[in-house]
Amino acid sequence: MNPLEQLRLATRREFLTTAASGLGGVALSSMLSDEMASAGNANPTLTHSTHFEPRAKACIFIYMAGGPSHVDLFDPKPVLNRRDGQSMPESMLKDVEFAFIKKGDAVLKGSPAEFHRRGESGIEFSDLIPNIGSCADDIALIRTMHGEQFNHHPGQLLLSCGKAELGRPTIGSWLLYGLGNESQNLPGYVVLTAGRGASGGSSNWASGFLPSTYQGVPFRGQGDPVLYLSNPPGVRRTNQRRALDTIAEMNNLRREAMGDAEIASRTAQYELAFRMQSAAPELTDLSGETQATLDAYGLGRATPRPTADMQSGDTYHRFSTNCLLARRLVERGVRFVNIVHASWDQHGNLKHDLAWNARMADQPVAALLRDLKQRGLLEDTLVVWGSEFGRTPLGQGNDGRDHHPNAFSMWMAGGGAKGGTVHGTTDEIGWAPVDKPVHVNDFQATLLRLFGLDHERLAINYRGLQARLTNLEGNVIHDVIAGRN
Amino acid sequence: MHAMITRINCCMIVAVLSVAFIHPTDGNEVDFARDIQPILAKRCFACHGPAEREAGLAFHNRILATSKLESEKQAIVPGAPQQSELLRRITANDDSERMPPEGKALAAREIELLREWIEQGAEYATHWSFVSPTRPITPEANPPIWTNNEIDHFVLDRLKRDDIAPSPPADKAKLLRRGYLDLIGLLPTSEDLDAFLADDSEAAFEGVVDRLLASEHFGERWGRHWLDLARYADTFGYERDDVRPNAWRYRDWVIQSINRNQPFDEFVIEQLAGDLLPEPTRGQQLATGLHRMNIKNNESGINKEDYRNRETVDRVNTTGTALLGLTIGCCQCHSHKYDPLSQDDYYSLYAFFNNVEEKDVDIEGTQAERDRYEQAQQAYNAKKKRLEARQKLLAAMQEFKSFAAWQESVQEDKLAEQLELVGIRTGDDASTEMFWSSLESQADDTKKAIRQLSVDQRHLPKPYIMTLAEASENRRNTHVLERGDFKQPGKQVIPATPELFGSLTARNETPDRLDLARWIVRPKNPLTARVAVNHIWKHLFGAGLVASVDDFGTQGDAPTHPRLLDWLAVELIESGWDRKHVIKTILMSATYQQSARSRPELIAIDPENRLLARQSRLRVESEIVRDLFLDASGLLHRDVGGPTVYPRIPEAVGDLGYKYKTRWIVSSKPERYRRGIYIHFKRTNPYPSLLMFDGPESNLCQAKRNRSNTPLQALATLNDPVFVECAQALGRTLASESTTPRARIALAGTRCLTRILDERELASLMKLFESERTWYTQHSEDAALVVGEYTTDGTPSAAAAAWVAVARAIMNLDEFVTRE
Repeated sequence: MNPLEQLRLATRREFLTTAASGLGGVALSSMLSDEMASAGNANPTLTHSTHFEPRAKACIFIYMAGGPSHVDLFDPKPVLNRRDGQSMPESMLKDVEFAFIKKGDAVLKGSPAEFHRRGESGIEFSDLIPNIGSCADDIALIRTMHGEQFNHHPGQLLLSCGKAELGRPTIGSWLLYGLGNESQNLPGYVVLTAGRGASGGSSNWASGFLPSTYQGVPFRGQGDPVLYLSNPPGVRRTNQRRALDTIAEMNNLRREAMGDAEIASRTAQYELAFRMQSAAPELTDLSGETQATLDAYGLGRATPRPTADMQSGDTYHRFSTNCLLARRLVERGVRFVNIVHASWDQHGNLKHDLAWNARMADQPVAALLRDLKQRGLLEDTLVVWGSEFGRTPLGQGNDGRDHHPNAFSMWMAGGGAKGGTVHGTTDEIGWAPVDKPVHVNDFQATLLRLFGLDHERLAINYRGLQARLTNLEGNVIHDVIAGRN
Repeated sequence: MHAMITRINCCMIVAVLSVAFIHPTDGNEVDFARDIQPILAKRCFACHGPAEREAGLAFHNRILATSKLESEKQAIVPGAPQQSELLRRITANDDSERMPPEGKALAAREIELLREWIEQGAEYATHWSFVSPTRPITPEANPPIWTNNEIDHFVLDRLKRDDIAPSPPADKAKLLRRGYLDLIGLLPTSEDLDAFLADDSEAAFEGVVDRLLASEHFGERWGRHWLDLARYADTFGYERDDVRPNAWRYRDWVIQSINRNQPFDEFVIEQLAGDLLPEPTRGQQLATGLHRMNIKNNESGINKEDYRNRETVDRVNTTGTALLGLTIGCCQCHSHKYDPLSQDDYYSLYAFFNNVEEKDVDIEGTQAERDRYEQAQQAYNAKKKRLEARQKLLAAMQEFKSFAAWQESVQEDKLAEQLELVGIRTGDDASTEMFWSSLESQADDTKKAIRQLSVDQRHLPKPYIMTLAEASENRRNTHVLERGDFKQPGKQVIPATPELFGSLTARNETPDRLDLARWIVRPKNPLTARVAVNHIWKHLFGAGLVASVDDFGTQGDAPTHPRLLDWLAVELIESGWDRKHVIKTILMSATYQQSARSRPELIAIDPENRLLARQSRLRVESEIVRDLFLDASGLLHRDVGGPTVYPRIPEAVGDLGYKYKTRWIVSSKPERYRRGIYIHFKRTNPYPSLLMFDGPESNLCQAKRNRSNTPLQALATLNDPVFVECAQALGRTLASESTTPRARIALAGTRCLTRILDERELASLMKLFESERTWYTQHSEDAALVVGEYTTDGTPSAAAAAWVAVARAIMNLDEFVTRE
């Protein structure tokens, strides 16, 4: 048994029950202790130590599941447009797998979108996302993302967990494990969904082999924001209070009799639950926001009529609300917010559906960036736009693209990310990286680094291996990290 | 170490101290397994070990480590550290000479240990768990008190080394509750309690244990433990996460097998290779459903071979983890860095599963079920045909824009039929007009309906069970897959078991799964029985004698009581793999029957209770939390086995899955009050409270559950309508009693906590009862809501509501969901 594991076991009770403080903070400190001992650098307040000086405190991960098309949104390819309708050399197709495209009939498909330079940095963004484009100077855009999973769920697992395997912790779980939760009244890892769920379902916010304390907690669009938050019918806050007082009193008596500290932890969790019962509705009560803010995020926008493959209803409004809630969560000390939206899988109807999605996301995401910046929160809040893969420069049918993990785009802003940067270049049709490729694991290593965590050391022993988010891979991409002012 | 103690808080001091307990021996002699093997494994094996032999040198084997090398040097010269090249290289000052080349140099303490070990002769010892267990001599208990059976001798012997006394027996009532929770996961009734308290005979508890072992609920409780390992779920997982037809029939096989106390070796053989037994029964085929429980990707556009490989890997890894306690999954990509298992070993095991076929077998003798399926299938076809016709029609209609124009295009005799298809009543102008104005959006609805229909179709009860079979033609050869990549086949291997554990006996020229299964449960297998009894121990004490229940390899934890582990393993084998016998033996021990009260002096030296100087307090598992609520409330529906059930879930929980709402038609009463083991488990969107209380995600074999303690759990037991309903039902019971309020509170205490509440506790709950009764007298509308459907004739609603509040409080006590 390694020392970390011993410490974890010895302090297990504390770990598993101190949801509001830095559980993993202690874990981390124990990992660091060896090193500090050798450096003679004793630090008595270890709880929130990190491996490096952290740049980010919170993360808003905008999880665009399905595979948004990089060549239509982030990575302009004039050559692709010129070669529209031509087939690709067989040599390039040899080792590639597709989910649906038949290699024999596939031809290149130019982009229906126009691109323009944005901001002082002049990064080119598609006209489908003009507002996001207007934040170019805060965005570090990586055009050479790549993975090896060409189906949705495995690709999402790779992005969420570092490996296309079920049963592993997701990014938010690792952050919470390493850094703890600063909110006294809310869970540290919150999931917001709009429209239909991602194909990975709950595995996109699972804690895997980490304790379930580190699981993402889905906040709901309907009913209680947190499952079972409301008291049962007829039970008011005063009744609940008296019930909890009785429970605490009885638990204390039992603790006297049995001498088990776990009983006190249980009482503490009930108290936290009670606080959450007022904190969560306060969070979702937007009456304190100005009309200007609500309008900026696009709350109350009508949702245009979607095509058959898309969800209808009030998706636009809900996505806008989620972006605003993300800011409110971060303001309240929540560590990781996952905004999931899953309709980017344009095998057909690309022209319409891509524009529909882009319109849904463009205004609120840009509003979020501006709002965070204006409030001084962007500095230590990392905002990520991510997806499990991009889409093929080859067309699928008349108006679609297939899954494409060989090259796609993701971006980050704030939290120490270097704004106004483009990292990496893909070839002239957006097929594969030609310069500075960034594997999904590299991205994850970089994300952890922005939180002051070393992806090679944030690890726990699982089935005989030192398991970590980046699996056995990952290199920090220093080029997308801003220098210190 | 010393530096750490001065700096870090006392928890850590405890951890450092407790390290000493983990080592079975404590002399001055350097112990290979304890002291040397970990250094070699961690710092040397990467280049000189089972996987790599750079410069012809490897340290995992004494012969290789002590041979003359190509360079004429000798890494280890037993008895002569000065002449050993190993010592010279690990102490070299020159960076280019010093080993290991990467990372920090070895610590002074490590070098010293290696030096002493070589001096003492550099003896290798096989890792403890790789040597077959033999029955150890039972230590004397001196003085011969406290002990009930052999188990206690071993435990006492270990406690004596640290001068720790065991704890007194648990309070009789709590012991009864412990036995019930551990064996059947349900509460004793007040009658059970009275009878047990009245029985002063020595055999009183044994009588209870025998009765519980014979209960059909025993199979539910212990079957669920096995289902964690079997990664049991009712859907396939991944994107589509379709319903797995009749998965529950495998679950029922497990419950029944455990109830009839099928010997564990047969239990294993039938699950791994029931199909290969001579003239297998339907039950034996059903048992092979174990390896149909793996996650399976039905997403379109996947590479089939990729996923077939993943499924095979999962079957190998599950077999390794569940039965052998080995982390063989590591060897999928490379030879094991620490344990003497090579990548060849891995793919030789893989070869046993590489020609399995997924075979669906007809359910025997269920013509009614087959008919029902046929009918449902026909209804589906008819509905689909109709929807498709409607879709086509709508598309055609959209072209014409007006009713009149379209009408002209249709043959007259078809008109009525066509109109009916789109829901227009003939001759009704209003509906016609409305229809045409909404025509634009009609096509969408139809397409959606067709999709939902196909989801429904996948939910139809299929008349077959899922089993494994062996392919008879087009058999695949097995190759080592480089880096685990199915596209990089390397050298060919044949089915074989790891060299380390001796060879297996094959019935034919090429060994098959049945040979493998028999090899796993042959008495000489050093791991299987130990792993099995360790699991049992974990369920009865909260932790295994080997804490790493899924890793018995060199990186796993050493047993705290190695001889006890071996004694139990041999007992399991020699009893004819009789699981109930082993469980009973443990329950009858004084060790098991100790009080769970913690003792201040133990908190410092043994916080995790590894030395067993007391019992442990354990929050019960997720299913059991719900079972206890239902049981105490009187709502529990106790039927054993059968199709899965769908309890109520909150609005919109079903939306979280992909594309289609989870088809979750709430089961009617009393079905919805069945035990947690029967709840339909959908992998991408599981029933919420199961996961909240650390139930497994059921994607992979899981040998250990966490026991977390979170605010979401508090919200669930306080507010989840299922738990609230339980409080209402118990509240009604209390309201219907005609005794004094104190007597009713005492009754609730006995019913939920299986003990007599003391004065302070009664007072505390009385206070709640009074305050709530006063409140609800003034808030009668609230009172009615609190009571809900569970009204009582003749009881004023304020009192009834106050009883619900009392019930809800008791059911939310730590003690209620804790096995003490």
